[in-house]
Amino acid sequence: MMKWFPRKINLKWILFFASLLVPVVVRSPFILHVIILLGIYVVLTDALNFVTGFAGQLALGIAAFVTIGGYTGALLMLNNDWSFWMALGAGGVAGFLSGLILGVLSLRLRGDYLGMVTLGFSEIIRIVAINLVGVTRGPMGLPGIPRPQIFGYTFRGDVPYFYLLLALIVFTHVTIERMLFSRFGRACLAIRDDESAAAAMGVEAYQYKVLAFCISSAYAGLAGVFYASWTTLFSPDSFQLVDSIMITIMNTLGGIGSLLGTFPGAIVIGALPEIFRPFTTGAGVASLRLALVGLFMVIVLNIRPQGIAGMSIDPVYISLEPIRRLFVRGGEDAKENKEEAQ
Amino acid sequence: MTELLRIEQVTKAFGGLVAVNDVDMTIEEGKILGLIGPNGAGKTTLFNCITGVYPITSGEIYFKGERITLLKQDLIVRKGLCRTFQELRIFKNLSVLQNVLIGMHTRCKGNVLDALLELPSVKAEEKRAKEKALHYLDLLGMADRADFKASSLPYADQRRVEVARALAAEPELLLLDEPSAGMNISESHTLTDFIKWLNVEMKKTILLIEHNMRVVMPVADNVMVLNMGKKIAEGTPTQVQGSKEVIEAYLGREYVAQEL
Amino acid sequence: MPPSFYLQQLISGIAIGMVYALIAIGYSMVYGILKFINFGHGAVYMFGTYVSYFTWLLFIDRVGWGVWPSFLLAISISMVVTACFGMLMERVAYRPTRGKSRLTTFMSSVGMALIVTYTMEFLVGPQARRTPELFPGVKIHVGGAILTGQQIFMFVTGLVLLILLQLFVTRTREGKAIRACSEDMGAAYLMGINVNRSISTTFAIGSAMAAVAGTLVGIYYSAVYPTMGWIAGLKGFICAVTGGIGSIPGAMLGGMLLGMGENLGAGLLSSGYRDAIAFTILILVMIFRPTGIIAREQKSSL
Repeated sequence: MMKWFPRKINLKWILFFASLLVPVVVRSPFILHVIILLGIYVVLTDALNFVTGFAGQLALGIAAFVTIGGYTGALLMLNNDWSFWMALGAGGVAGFLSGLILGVLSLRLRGDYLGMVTLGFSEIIRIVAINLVGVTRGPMGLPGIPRPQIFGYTFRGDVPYFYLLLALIVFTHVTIERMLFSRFGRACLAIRDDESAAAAMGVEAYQYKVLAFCISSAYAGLAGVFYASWTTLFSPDSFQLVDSIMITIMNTLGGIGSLLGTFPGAIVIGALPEIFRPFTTGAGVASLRLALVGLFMVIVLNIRPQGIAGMSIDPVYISLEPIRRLFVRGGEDAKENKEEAQ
Repeated sequence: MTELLRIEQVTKAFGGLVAVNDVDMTIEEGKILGLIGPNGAGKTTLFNCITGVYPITSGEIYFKGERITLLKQDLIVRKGLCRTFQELRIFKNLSVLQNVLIGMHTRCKGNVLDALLELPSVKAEEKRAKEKALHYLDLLGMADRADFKASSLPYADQRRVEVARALAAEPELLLLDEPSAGMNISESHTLTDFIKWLNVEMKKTILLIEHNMRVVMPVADNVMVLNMGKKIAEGTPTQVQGSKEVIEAYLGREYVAQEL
Repeated sequence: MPPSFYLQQLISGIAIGMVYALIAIGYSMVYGILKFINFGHGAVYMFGTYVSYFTWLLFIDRVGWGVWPSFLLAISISMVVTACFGMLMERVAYRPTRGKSRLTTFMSSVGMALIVTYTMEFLVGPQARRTPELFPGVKIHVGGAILTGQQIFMFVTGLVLLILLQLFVTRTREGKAIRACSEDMGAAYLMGINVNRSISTTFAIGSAMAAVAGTLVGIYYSAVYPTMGWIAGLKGFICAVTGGIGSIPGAMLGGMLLGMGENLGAGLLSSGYRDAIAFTILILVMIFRPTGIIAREQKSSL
């Protein structure tokens, strides 16, 4: 009968179709708002994972590229009347180019030093954003960032933004997967495992590291433009040092170098503070959440440093056998089992 | 016979320590040169100098007549040299097949953009590369374990993967760093045959660092001996085995004095 | 710009530079012995400052002592308490990761920084607190520039502590043990040196220095707040690498350079850029001379 019914399904599809239903299922606007924030964290964790997990470089200053991307997009939309879509592209390009600058400067450094330099760069960007009041309006930020429009429809409200974000997440994942399972991606993984041996096999390690860094920053730039448009206000405080660290922790928890680990990593750490919101007053929440995030980090590193998904880039399949049995009649099923056994 | 590799007066100093001291070496195409010497003689350092891991302090290195002295590691591979490592440096978290595909990195095309667009030409290229990689694995008897994670294999199989990886780079000159490390006598015999096969069937010129005389002497066309960074003897295996300086270097002056 | 401007920047720079050097010590020594960047050091600095601050106020308000006696007692207590705190942190967060990669320990220290900083913020609130003054109105005029009492105090205190530390490290047995562990931990262990004790001592010293530094800075700017450790910590790190990580004179040199460079830049451009200049110095040092000015450790390749 329906023998073509698949035996297993890639988890990705389940996640995707389930996500499509989220705004329908989630009734509370507050929760939907948090979910969008979590989705942005997923994109950023993916971005960071590309350089930490696939190229093996510790980059602690991702906020810099979110800020650069966000400002680029916002300014182009506000001052030059660019459409959201073009500004999105510009934000990605801005992220890429600034990643190139920082990458070239610092990717010859060793692990922890690289982390500190990327942090320093991130702070420089923040300070410049605060002080270049003529361009960025300083600490007051850029308000009134326009929303995306397509064929006359304007994205207003969290529900359309959710789907826009979903598209961004899908884009990020599909492109990362394609890059990963290619000659380029393979070379990056080899660099992560043993840079010197990779070079000994002809891999242009330095160039690839820089490229991975640029790609990572480009994604961060995209996220920045999205965030700017969603909140319609972008300021130097939108993404700071602490956020960079938080995303690093999300990456670590999910599993540095995994493909699907970024989801649970981002969601758990991102949702953690919100769980405690009812228990503490407003002022206390922000502090406590960060303290807890730090605690989580120390615990994960001591107990399971490889995080939830380890370094796995294998697809995850869910078995559909139980459902399949419902459709395929008993006799035919038994016959097939006999064939397989032989 | 054309000269494939020529090293002229190569010296490598690490601060005050001179690891390789004024060494000359020539390898002709199709030959096997054995590089022997006591521990710490500078053999692996010399390898590292040739393959571009270390910048040399002075001297010149030529490959097929072209000066490669200042080239970085990855460019040197493109010229036609590839090496294995004494301490086995395969990519532990990658599969066996992926390890060999890395070896083929310089023989394939395909950059990020191609990957993103998934052009049919790129897909065809990947397919071709995979087939070739499997072929190399097959030569080493590892094709059935192509999808195994490299770190899950026993030591001897990991060694085979490393050789397959180096072969995949399609070098003209293959540098083997103590391939017999960790092998027993019967395995050493197989290794000797294998090296001969690499030389004759696969047409590789070989520079071989070895401690195990049972492996080097039957296989090498010429042998060069290093001691404390300096070349102390060079010649056919028989010539070198009889050399007083060589025996002294390995066994000490007192032993030689006693013998005489 | 008149010469007095440069002189002023020089003076401020040297004063604050000495304090930066005290912070740098913690990074330098810990890196020397355990070969990792202790990101949590900034939080320790902040912790020490709060301990001083509260103890100080306690003795002034409740016990009724004068500003100075209270201060001396407070800072002494803080040095001891913070030293213990630093040792505790090492025990809890870094010793378990000792076998693992350096990056794991580094990330663990990032986690510790978050925990300490934001727990403190949760407990005492994010607002900046004002401190009493040690030298109200004390000013010396030097060639058009002003030298305050607090600046002189910072310079002298820092210098004295650094000299004492250098003597400790070179002349005492404990100090030599620490240096031995920094050179080759395995060999030191085999020679019978109690490596764990040396490590704990290193953390204790670095933390105590940080407590002093934080207290002095808190008084200097009359501001004590929970996130003061982030930037101060990063700047301490910058001094350590500029001067040469693992070297005490290097930390001092790095501190001087950073202090003066920062002030000069802030004076010439705008005060908002002060921190940005510090980070620019970091990037420049990392590109051009990653081992620092007084290079003690060879930069290892992969």
